[in-house]
Amino acid sequence: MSVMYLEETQWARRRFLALGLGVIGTLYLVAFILPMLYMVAVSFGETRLGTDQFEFEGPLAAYERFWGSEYYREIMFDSLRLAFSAIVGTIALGLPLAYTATKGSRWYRIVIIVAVVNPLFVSTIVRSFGLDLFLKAINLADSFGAVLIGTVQILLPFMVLPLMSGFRAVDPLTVHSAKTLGSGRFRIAVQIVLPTLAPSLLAGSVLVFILSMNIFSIPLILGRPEDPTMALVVYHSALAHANFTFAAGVALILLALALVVIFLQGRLVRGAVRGVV
Amino acid sequence: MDSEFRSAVLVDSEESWTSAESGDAHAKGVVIDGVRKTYGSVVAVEDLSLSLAPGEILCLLGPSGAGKSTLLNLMTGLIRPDVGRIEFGGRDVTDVPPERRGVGAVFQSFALFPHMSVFDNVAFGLRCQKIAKTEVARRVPEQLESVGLGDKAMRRPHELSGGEQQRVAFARALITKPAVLALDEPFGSLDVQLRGSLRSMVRRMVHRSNVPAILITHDRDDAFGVADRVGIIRKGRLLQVGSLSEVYHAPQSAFVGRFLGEANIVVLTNGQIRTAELGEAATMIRPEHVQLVAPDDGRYAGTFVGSRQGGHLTRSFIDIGGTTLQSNSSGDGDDIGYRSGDIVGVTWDERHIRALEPDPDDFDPTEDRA
Repeated sequence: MSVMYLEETQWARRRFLALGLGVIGTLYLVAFILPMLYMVAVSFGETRLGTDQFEFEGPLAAYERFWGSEYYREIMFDSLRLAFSAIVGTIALGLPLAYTATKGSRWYRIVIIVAVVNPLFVSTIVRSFGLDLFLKAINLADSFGAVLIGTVQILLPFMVLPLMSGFRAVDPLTVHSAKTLGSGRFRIAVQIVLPTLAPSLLAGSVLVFILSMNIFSIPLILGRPEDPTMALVVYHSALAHANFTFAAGVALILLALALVVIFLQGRLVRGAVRGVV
Repeated sequence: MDSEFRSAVLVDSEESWTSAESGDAHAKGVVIDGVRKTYGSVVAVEDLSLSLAPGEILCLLGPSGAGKSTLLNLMTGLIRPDVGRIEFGGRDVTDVPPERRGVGAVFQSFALFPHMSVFDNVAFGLRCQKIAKTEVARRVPEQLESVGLGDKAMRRPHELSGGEQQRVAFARALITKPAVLALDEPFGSLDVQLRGSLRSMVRRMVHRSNVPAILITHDRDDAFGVADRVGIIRKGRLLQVGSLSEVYHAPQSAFVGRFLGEANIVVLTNGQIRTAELGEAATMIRPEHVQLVAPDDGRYAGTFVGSRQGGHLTRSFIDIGGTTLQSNSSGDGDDIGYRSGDIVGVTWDERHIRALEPDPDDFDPTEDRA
């Protein structure tokens, strides 16, 4: 009796699991895998859309155009520069915020979490536009600095939230032990806290990197039109010039850069985790 | 008969149970003098004074919330006292921050540095002191050898067993030759079987290094296994300090008596025996001193309630007019020889009766006891 019941619940659980996996798998396939494969095909110019106004110039035309042009290479380096600057900026602001939110009183924590997370509920476009108006008023708009300020502000939660869990993982007793052993603040920060924080720093950095490489409303509104980012090149190529082959190619280069970063992070985290867990 | 007990008790109580403190020795050890610490309206530690000689292990026993951790934090310098003075080796450290106090601390959770090797953990304190590399390379393996971990130097803490991790913690705390060793429930997270060997290792290491050590615990087996002297702490107050035998055999109050072992706490009046009430001056007789005899040979006669085999001893319970006395005899596995309902006599040697001061009014009999 009980065995039968057990078997029945097991079957029910398996059916439920199969259903869930089926739904997720279908969604993944239809909304992600197939479009990505299609985009790869488009980027090679094989499957040309009716609206594409450009001649077929060989399967690697999009990539040749991107890599062969000083202009586009420069755009890629500018995008990378923005991404790494955003990482530095979010870390510089995020470390003290996350530390205070974790170690400070309850009120500090609430204020910081609300302040950091709340802007996520306001549309990026609305926020960028507001920032643009303000920066125009103080003559700072339409510059790399303006784009960086906007990017850091919008991506800050993606650094602060992992860092908060990182600070929570620091055992106060190890810090206390280090103190009793004669360690000063600097040694504690570098040798005790930083290694525990490293996986969170990496996770936050990867999130900020990928998001800032792909963000386009910020550079669109805050940046100089003649200095687009890679995401803006995709946007303009596809929507303004209807050059889907080139847009797909640049989008895939963006994706490849993200994958490289995720791969490097995975290796670094495995290295760091081997030391801790 | 009662007056005879009283006089016997008085003679005993006149023997001082505060330990013989030689001031010179303690001046080189630890002196805690009139320390008080409050958190808002909560008094965590109240007018607490104690001293330790070099190489001496003082075990502070108390229930949770007694102020033990506050005292430990006062010693390591994590917090500062409102009033009072703390001296290590004759040096006033009351206002000295933790990193310049020279306290070796060992915690229940080990608190090893997880991303450092065993070697680097133990070397940490030496490197903070800017000790030369060659000396670090010589002393760390030596220290690891002395705790039996010579072959584990390059391991990470998570690759070690709990007992090995705690030995690393001891090696790390002692290698800097601290002025005092502060041990916070150091055996609390270890298997019972492991605790015995670690306790003797701690005794050996502390005595050899000649560092005074304060061990904070709620487990009286820690006290019996490690301590040279023992102190009972409750609600921030140090109730009694002395050698194990003094505190065990001559507790000042029922709380102290019960904390170190099983105890019959009773009031003996006019040939009658009854359970002591809260705040009442009572006497204590340890169950191992209560002998079962023929009904006519006993000081009191009562009804045998039953007995329980407890490994090394057998606990018997006798009801005397509504008061239950416990009698322990060495458990040789034999039947105790009485049946439930038998009339038995109980007796004891007069020298085993201890007069107790009344417990404080706020004494809660359900308070956590080891």
